[in-house]
Amino acid sequence: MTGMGFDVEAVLRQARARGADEAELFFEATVDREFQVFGGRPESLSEVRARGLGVRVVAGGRPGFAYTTDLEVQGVLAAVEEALANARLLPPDPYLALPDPGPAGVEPDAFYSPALAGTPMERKVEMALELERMALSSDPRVRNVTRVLYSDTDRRVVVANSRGVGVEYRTSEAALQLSLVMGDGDQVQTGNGYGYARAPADLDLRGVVAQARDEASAMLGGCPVPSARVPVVFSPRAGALLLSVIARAATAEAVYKRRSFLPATPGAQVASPLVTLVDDGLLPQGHRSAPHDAEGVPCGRVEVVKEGVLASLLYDTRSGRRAGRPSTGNSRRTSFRDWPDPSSTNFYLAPGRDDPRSMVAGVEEGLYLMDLTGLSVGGANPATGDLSVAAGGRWIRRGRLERPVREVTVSGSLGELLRGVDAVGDDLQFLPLEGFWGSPSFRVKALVVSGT
Amino acid sequence: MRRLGLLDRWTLEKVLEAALSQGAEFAEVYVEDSAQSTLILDDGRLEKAMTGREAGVGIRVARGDAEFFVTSDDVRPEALLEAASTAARAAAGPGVSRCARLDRNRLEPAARVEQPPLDCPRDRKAEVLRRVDRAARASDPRVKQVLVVYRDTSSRLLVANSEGLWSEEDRVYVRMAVHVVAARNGEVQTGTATWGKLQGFESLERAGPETLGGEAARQALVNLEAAPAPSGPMPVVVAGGWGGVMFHEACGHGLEADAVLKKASVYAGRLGQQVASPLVTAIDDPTIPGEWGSYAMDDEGAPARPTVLIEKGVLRGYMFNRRTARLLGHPWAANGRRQSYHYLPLPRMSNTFIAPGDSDPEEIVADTRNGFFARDLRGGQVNPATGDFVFHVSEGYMIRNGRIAEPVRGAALVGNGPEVLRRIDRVGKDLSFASGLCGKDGQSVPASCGQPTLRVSELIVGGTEQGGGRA
Repeated sequence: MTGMGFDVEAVLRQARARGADEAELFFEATVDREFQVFGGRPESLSEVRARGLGVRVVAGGRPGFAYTTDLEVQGVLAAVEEALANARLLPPDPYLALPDPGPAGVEPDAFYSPALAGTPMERKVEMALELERMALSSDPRVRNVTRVLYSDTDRRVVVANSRGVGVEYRTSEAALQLSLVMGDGDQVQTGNGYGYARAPADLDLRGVVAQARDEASAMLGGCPVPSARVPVVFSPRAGALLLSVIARAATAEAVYKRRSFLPATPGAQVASPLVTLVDDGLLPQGHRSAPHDAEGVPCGRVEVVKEGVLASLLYDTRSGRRAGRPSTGNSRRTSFRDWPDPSSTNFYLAPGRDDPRSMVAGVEEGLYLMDLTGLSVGGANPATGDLSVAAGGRWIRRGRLERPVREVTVSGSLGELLRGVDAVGDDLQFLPLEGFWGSPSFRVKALVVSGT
Repeated sequence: MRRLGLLDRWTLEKVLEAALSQGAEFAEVYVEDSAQSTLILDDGRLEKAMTGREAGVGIRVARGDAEFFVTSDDVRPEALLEAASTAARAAAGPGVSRCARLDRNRLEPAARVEQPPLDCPRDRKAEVLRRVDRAARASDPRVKQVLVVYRDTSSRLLVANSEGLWSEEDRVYVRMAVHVVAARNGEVQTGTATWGKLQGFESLERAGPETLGGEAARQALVNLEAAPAPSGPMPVVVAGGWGGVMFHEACGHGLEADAVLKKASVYAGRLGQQVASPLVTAIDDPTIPGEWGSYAMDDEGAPARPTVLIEKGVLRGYMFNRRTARLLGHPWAANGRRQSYHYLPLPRMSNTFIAPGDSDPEEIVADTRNGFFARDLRGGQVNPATGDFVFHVSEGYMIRNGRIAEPVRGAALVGNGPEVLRRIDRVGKDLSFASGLCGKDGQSVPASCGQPTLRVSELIVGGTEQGGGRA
């Protein structure tokens, strides 16, 4: 393997010589470029180059971990010693083992576009300035554009272990974030748009502006409604946000540690038959796609819930061994600094056949939910399934979208919500927001909306 | 673990000169050497032990309103000079700037440390986690799952800039979070306790691991017995400590000067105006010794100083970093903070709190006929442009006839910042703080929030039961 300052095989041998029964090296090198524009000018341009190594060892069944940014041989060996010292602290873990080499995954550069490295900074800045101009002129009610952020990441990963796993891959991604504020009299409303692609030229500026403009204009002038228990139609964006919580409950580890509202046994009915939930680590446009997971196991596609029935949880090597199943390629590290943990990759609700407009048309009184906040700060508890989040959207009366709604909460339980899905649209959309979540529009029979 | 020496005068001067060499107006070098240790006890066993080391440099160059930033994990002088030249080229333009003579200042740390975590034997740390786990599990047979996460961070920081600043500080953080799951008859609920200080390991031992474990378990058990919360508007009494997250979300982010600068804050242009009830005085203070959000210098090397944000309800100040202070014409900044050397500094909160008032906390409840008592809030989120916020109640009770009554669960509190601040009608004497991680623009920094018990005359409680609570 090329590009690191040390010999991987030699370090793995050294780790074994110093007491490790098994050892794993996770090397990561990233180049992150980011800038913002404001008022027609670039504000802050940053180019962050980070490299680091995570070392995992198993000694006498005891796991240990250490990371370092010092990639000279001495620094790497010091990390190996640290990992071994950390291992001595823990009791033996009967399930922990490193993975064996598996079948070949997809091409190492399946999620990499050379066009990223080939795009000059000036071109990226032009794009961002164009986005700002388009946003400012997208609607006469736009008061300011408060955020135009461009970022891209070129990531290289190498995973090698003493059992013979040796993989490397490279990924590229470019992203845009837009926030604008629309006003009408003394009412203001924010709208956000997100764009994501493998290379800057593939970013859809018009789409990003439309998302932000549509969100702001739909909820401008919103106010609370009287509390009621009503049908709720989720927009694709609101649905994707909700799925980010369900995804956390879908790992085998969350389930066996009693931190998931999902039952432990596959075969149980957990949702309406219209619900199929998928985790796909090879999704071509997925933010979390990679040829291999954080332990070097090939990524794949898992149907977690199939037509309402729990089909498979998400496994890494350890939780798989504990359950007598193979890893599903769902091990993840946020960076080389982290112990690999089970996690979803690109997680989404499969599209159905219903026309989103007919979903709204079928509601006498209810809420068209466009935005949820507070999910990540306790508003949705993956362990208990309790849901209580701030919400915004439009009220539905007699099948039509009416007045904008804001400052209400939507509550219920995730289990009840999934079982109450009575329509799923054909309009699957993905949301790249610290993860990658997708959902079409869908309707839930009843949730509590609290307002005045 | 070998500690990296921070850079010497010669290297700093050369790097700053290189950064200025293409016509930039200002250059800064931020050097960090951090060591971290994490222990996780889960499902009854010590599950993960991790240590790590990260060292590097962030080089910033400014020209007009624009900033250019390059980082390097390779801290050899040649690599730093190359990074500085890259930054310099990005900022290229006419003009010549010189680097002022660096005046070294090693600051008295804001951290209070007797037992440095770096020198603390691993076993001693592990024993504290075991004590927490035992105490939580022993408290009640309904406790089914206990997760204890411990982390300490020891950082050496250096900031030098072309204006002659050269400041250094050592910071030591110790933090613990306990999450308990309790269950009975298929019903499952959770409880949490957290603790964090800019102090040595001894402070965690003194805080009482058993107390933390017992507290998280107690909360999970209360939630297990709780009825679903009602929904509707009502008076809300918010307890101190984590209750302070309400101000943090309702107001704090909107007082960070970058939001003000972009007119993305409801508090922009409102200095000198009444924005809250006259009972509210709110302060951001990074100088509280040993407190989780404290520092001796901010991450641009500016000496820490408190900011009075709101005084008797009148907006008095914003929080600045160097750039926003310059652009908004403010004479100083003390709130420029960054997650690590990989990031540019942004205006951030430190320890932000509502000052204690005159009321007796028990009387505040007694004077509330019917309402909601939020004993513990667990995080929130805000849109600074509109002021809309939400926070999640992790332990709540109904108030009936002036008494704290049955526990209820699953409630969110939503509101609009300025409106809620105006509706604060009682402020207690009992100030306490809670430590958390504040996220903004992809950067997480340690921040504490505090307040006394206070009452908001009306907030929307979002529970699962329709109606405004049972009569």
